Amino acid sequence: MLGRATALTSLNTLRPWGVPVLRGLYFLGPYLPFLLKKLRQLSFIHFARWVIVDSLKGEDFHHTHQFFESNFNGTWSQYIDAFSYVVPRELNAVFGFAFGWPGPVPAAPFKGFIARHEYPAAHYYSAYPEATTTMILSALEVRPRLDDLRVRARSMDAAEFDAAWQRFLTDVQHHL
Amino acid sequence: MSDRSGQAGALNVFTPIRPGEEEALRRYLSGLPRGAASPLARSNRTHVARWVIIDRLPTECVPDPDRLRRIQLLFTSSFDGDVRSYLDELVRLLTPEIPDIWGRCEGFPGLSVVGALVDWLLDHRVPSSFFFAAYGKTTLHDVRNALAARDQTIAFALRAQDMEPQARLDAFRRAFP
Repeated sequence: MLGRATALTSLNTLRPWGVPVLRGLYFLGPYLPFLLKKLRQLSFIHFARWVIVDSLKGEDFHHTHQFFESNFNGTWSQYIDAFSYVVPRELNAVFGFAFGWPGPVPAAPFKGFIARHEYPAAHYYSAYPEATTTMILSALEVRPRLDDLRVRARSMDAAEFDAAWQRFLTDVQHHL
Repeated sequence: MSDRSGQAGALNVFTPIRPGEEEALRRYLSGLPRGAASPLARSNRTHVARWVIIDRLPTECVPDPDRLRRIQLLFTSSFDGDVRSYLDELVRLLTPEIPDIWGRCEGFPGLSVVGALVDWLLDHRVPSSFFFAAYGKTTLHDVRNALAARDQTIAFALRAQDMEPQARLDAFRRAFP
C-alpha cells in the first residue's frame, strides 16, 4: 500500500476447457457495456488487467495461467469484500475456471484463495497515491467547468460573477 | 488482446532472473525510494507500475502443476501513449537503476546499443487479455492538473464564502488568471 493506493497481483492456473471461454469473454469485454459499467460501479479501481499466460520465454508450460493485477484505493479486505458482494457473477466468469476456485461468496474462502495466489510487489509506484478514483473522476468534471468560468469571469462585473459563481458551485458541489 | 483503454496502455514484461540473483534483486527493489522519490516518478507518463518477483506457480488443486525453470521478474505499467516511445523514455530515465534490475536477468542486452534493451523488453512482453482504466482517456498530466484545479476550487470556495461580490471577483481573477 502506498498512500491510499493498493496493489494486488495474483496468478492462478486455468482448467483447460475454460481457456477458450475466457478468451471469448475478454475479446467481447470491451463491447459489453454492462461489464464496463459493473467495473465502474467498483468506483475504487484505477486500473485492472487480466492476462492469459500460455508461455513465457524459456519456460515450458503444459497449463495455461491467468495473471490478474489491480490498482485500487482502500484496503485489501474492503476491496475483496466489495468484489465478492457487488460483482459475484462476473467474478465467477473470470476466476471460475481456475483450479481451486471456491466461489465469490461467502467472502472468507474467496479472500483465502486470493491471498494464497497473491505475489507482493517488491516495488510499487503510483503517480497520485493520495487520490482516490472518485476524486480523479470528480476533478475531471470540475476542471472544464472551472476553465469555462475562468474565461467568462474576465468580462463579468461583480453581480454577474456572483450569480455565475453560485451556479458553478451548485453544478459542481457533488464533485468537491 | 487488449493493451489499450482510451489513450492508456498496459505493459506486462516477464524476464527470467539469473540463478542466484533473486534475493539481491528483491533486496534492491524493496530498498528503492518510494513515492515521489521512486525512480519511476521521473516518468511523466507512468500512472502506476510495479516490479514483482514471481518465484512459484500455483499448485493448489492443480493436477501435475507447472514449475518455473527460472524465477521471473514481472514489470507492469499503466502508461500514456504508445508502448515503444514509452519504453524508450523509461529506459533513458531509469539508466542508473537498470543494471541492478534487468541487469540481473538472463539475456539482458546491456545499455550500450540504443534500442536493444527496449527490443528485449518488448520481446518478453505478454499482452493483456482485458485492460480496464477508469479514466483511460486522460493523461497523467491532465489527471494532475484536474486534481490541482479541484483542490484550488475547494480552497477558493472556503476562502470566498464571506467575501463581498467585488472582492470575490477580484480574488477569483487572481486565483484563476
